[in-house]
Amino acid sequence: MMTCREVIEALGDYLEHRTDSARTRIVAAHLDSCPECFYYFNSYKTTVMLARKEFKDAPAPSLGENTVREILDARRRRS
Amino acid sequence: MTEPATTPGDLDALPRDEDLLPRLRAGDEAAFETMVRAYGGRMLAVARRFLGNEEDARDVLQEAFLAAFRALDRFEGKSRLSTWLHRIVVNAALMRLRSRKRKPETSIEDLLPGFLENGYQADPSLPWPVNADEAVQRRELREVVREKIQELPENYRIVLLLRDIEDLDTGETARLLGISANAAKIRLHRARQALRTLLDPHVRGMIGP
Repeated sequence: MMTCREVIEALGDYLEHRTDSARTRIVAAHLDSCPECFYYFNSYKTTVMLARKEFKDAPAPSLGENTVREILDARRRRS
Repeated sequence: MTEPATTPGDLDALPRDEDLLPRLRAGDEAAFETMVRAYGGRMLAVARRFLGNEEDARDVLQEAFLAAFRALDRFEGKSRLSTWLHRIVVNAALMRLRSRKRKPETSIEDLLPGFLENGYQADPSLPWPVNADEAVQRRELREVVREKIQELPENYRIVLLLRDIEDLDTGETARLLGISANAAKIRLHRARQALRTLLDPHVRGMIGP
């Protein structure tokens, strides 16, 4: 039996499948029976996905010719 | 010699490591230019995420490419060139952050969930009207995410970036920050919780799909 506090503390490991099987079962059972923790878990998971997606899908910025030149010039000066 | 610019993010157009590395190691200037053009945009994006300041990001990018060039002899090729460069940029960005005058660290406590003595949530969570897959499709929400990540206390923002965005593992994150693996894990969980708290009113204010 885990409290909501303990379950929420375990969510990071649970999300990444790093809880052992006994703990995984207990957390899953708690989430099945506690709507508030279920809502919290879903929003936690969505938060992680949103952060990952926002940055990973963003197109890479253009470096710009000036910056390329500056880097190449700096390398020539130092080699 | 100037080689054609590579479209940022066009993975098919990236040079093959096995072609580029021998040329880089031989000091071929055109190969260095190819590397800068091929990976510069993506590495600039990494530096920007950490530093939030264009001038610092471009400085760090330059430092990182020069450091990479100096370290080429030590690069064993066990990882991809892009992965190796990425680590150098991350390292350079962290060094730049450390050299900045430290602002007093804001507390994260107010952004963490509270609990009653019996372990129940003090402020019971409410459902978000969209699930994860729907949420990531919402452009307006993704802009809020960027803004809210910037609002996290720096020690937490950095761990979130390293683990969830830059895909470093817990051990590497801990090593870069000089903290234990357990501390890195706890800090990541706190950072995600804090970001969730900051997003909560925005997401709950949205209309469902």
